[in-house]
Amino acid sequence: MVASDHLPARCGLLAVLVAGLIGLWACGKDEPAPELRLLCYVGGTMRPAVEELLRIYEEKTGQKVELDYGDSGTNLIKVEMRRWGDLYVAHDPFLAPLMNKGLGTQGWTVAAISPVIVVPKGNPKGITGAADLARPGLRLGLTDPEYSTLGHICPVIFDKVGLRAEIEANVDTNMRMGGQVANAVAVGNLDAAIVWNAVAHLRADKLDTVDIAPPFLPDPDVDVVTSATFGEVDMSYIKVFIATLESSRHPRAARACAEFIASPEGKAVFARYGFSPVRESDRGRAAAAGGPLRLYCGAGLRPAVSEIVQAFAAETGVVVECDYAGSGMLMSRVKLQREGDLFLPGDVWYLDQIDKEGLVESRTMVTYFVPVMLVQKGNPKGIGTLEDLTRPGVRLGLGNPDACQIGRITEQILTKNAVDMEAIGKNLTFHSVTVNELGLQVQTGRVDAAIVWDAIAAYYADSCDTVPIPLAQNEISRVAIGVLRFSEHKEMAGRFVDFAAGENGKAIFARHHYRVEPPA
Amino acid sequence: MRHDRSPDGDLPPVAGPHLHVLSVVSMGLLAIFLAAVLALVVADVGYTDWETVVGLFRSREVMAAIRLTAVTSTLTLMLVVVFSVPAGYALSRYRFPGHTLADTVVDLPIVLPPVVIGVSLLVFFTTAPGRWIEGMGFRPHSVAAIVLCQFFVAASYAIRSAKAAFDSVDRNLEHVALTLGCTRAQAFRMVSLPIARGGLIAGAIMAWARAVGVFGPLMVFVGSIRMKTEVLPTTVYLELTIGRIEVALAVALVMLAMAFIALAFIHWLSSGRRWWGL
Repeated sequence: MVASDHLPARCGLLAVLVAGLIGLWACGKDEPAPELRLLCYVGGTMRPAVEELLRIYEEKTGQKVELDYGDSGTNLIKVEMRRWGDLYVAHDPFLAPLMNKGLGTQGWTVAAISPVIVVPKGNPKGITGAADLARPGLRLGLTDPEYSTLGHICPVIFDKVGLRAEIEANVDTNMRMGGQVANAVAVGNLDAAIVWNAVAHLRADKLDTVDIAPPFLPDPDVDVVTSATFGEVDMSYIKVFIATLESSRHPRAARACAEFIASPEGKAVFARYGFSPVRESDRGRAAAAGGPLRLYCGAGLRPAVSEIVQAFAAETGVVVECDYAGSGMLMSRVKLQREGDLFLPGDVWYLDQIDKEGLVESRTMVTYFVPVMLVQKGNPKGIGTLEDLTRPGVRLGLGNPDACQIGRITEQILTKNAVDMEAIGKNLTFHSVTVNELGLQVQTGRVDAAIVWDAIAAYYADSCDTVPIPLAQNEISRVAIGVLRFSEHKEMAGRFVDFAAGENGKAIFARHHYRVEPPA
Repeated sequence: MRHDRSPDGDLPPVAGPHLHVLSVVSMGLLAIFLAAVLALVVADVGYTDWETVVGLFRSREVMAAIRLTAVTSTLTLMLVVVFSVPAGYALSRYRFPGHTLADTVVDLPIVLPPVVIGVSLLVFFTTAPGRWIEGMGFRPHSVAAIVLCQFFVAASYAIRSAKAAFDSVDRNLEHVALTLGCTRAQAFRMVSLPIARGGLIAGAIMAWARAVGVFGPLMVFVGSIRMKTEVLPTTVYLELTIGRIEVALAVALVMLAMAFIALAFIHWLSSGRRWWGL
């Protein structure tokens, strides 16, 4: 067997090719990465608007934001699994699962979307309204009722038109996403489809839009869909929102960016891309109250409060924007900013503090927090008493007394029981600013023990064990919600208090293992 | 799997078509398939236009996606070749406990929808070993992550065809080589590898083609960050979601051209009589 003559030539060429590719790769990396880049997950339809907004934002502030596109459901999975990223843009109903899973910290409504009929350019079939969709022989495309919000809304529209059977007989295709049906109309495979106005707007060069008359659109007081995963969604008003994520490494920068996108300037860009405006009042119901309510909420209360806020919104249409953080941090924010409507810290002590400046209008008891020791599953360090926390080699996680209530109360408990503070100091490996992080530290095995609320311990019941602190040695936090004196929506804030402290709120608190009665 | 020209040149040359039933049927079906593929390409060309295609090359994002696609698929191809040739040889030549199981497991990624691979990777990186790998500097928004997705989708095809290629090598030839004084490694390099070459190259082409086309797992695991993790299939999807069908098709045509050049190059590279580079 003789070596081929072109062998060296071919080897050489291969080497050149590989070198070339590596060169290509290298020149793709010519921009030095700046210190701080935010990552924003964006649902498909919102991409062009968000892209433009972030370009403006970068010009103004120099802040770079990278975008990761996908459909909103996939993005939600990525947020949950990766625990990475700063911002999330989607439309209803994805805000609810984001908040319920504790993945988001705060959400802003930036625009809304509504259904329209799209037809090929020039409207060859002469469709003038929803009733024309019942015309025999028309090829109609809809989005899948199983997987899309719009799919739930279409039957409501058809019922109102009074021609549901006739229109549904024309349905040629059900697709997963509105963009796909709109594309099918654009290439001429369908005569008409119902999609979101923003989806239609992106294809304005290929499609004409026919409005659906308002009487046929879902009614805000009647048409609400409930789904197991997403909770209730008001079909008459599908909102586009931006949320800051719990996983953010740069929460302040993320918040600033979200606030820019939610600003009037940002909303104007959404309007330019064919989105509907944000309703300043929810058809009069919240009109008297004005805009959304702002609630400062202790981080340890988030699992229950995020659900209460959703339930409240579903019942009243009033959006409550929550700012979750350690109670100490929130207290300084309330004192400094003097805005917002409600304050729900981890203990009434914080309300007392701001009331020294006359900032509390009224207060209502909501729940009780009992500190417990959270240890790793099976309690490998054999921790049974507070004294055990001082043993050499126990890695301890405690809250920072200045930042959060769990830190303040832990200090009181340790002092009251004359625990050796020097030994505690030696064992302290993690000082947190919220109670939630302590649970995570124990769960991931970075600390052996932490002192947390009973409700937070219950949240981690699958992966950690709880060691109670005897009542005599313990201190109980009493948690009350206060209406702030400078609130401009006191009546609506009062309604939220009634809701949170009432039967609905109590049931949600109890479901999340919060005590609604003081411990015996 | 026989190549049209054997390394020893002892097979009769491939004949031109004759008019008999077999040739008419086989040529006819080939023609139908080619016409169908060309019809699709022509439809794509008809929907888009020259300016859109040219416009792509002026877009920084698309150029980055082209570059990233070329780089990742080539890295994946190299990694696949490094794995698949020895792994295919092992499956073909050695019998060990669990051989049938191993043979089956190799096929699993082919059966799974690619998006499942993405979800599985996502979930894996929430487990302790996954976190450890992340701690070592692995990042989900990186070239390495793209290559990982492509590798899982593509490697099975290459291992499968490498095994088939080595299965088709007459083992008596290896024994003869051994009796003539070759070591096992020499027999592998000078006998088995050249004979299996055709099958190995076919496997590599298939793996590369799969790697270029990977999309589902990337959307789930790596994401589609412009200039960073956006490869051409992602570009096609992104353009479709905002209704720019002609741009999506123009990107598809660019992919088609890339594939054509790459396949022609691989065919040319393998047209010599010896297994190149070895």
